[in-house]
Amino acid sequence: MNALQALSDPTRRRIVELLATGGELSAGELASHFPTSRPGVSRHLRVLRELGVVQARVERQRRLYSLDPAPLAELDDWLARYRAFWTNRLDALDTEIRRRRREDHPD
Amino acid sequence: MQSGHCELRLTRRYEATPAEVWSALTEPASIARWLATPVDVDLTAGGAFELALVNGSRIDGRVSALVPERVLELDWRHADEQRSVVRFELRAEDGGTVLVLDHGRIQAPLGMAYITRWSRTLDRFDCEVAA
Repeated sequence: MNALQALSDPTRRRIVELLATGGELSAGELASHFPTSRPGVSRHLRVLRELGVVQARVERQRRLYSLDPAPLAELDDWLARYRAFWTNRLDALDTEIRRRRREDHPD
Repeated sequence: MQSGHCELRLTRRYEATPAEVWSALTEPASIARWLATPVDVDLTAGGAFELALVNGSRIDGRVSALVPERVLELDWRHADEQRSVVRFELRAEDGGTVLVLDHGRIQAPLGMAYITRWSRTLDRFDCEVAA
């Protein structure tokens, strides 16, 4: 899987984390977080783009990088299963608690 | 947090005492209404906690920790998923009861485990990529 290959390297993993919280960032802004040289960061960005995890657009002669939403949507779909399961169950528990209270203390 | 696994947390406040929330949480007749049909539920440490879901699948669980009115922790295995851990903790607060649900050691989908602190609707959702 592309995402797994993309994240096998700690620098690339960190780039993805920075983009996940920072939105769009330039190569220079990303490089400021690493002891690695800027060309090193650019090389990792190229790998991430080739793998489809990161996308780029040019604005005022600056290339801005961001995460591709597709892998995030995949994560969200997966998470939604667990979220929905427990959210529904805890709502049902609330109903159950109210029900028992009514039975114990009828008006 | 273990590598390659995720944890999620939900917190709820109920207008009831811990004793009331505990009995609603754990009595088999209640479990049938809020969680799933109990097949074999033995509320003692190490006891069985087996449920049948409406979709026909089964939870093959076991009670791994039990402190009445405070902690219920379950080894949790749903269908062919790997084992995970579901923990309920209750505490009295401002005349009500706060319930914290932690579902931990969920096996992360391949390559999807890299976003940490994913928390739009959950209090906490952490994943860590496998080393």
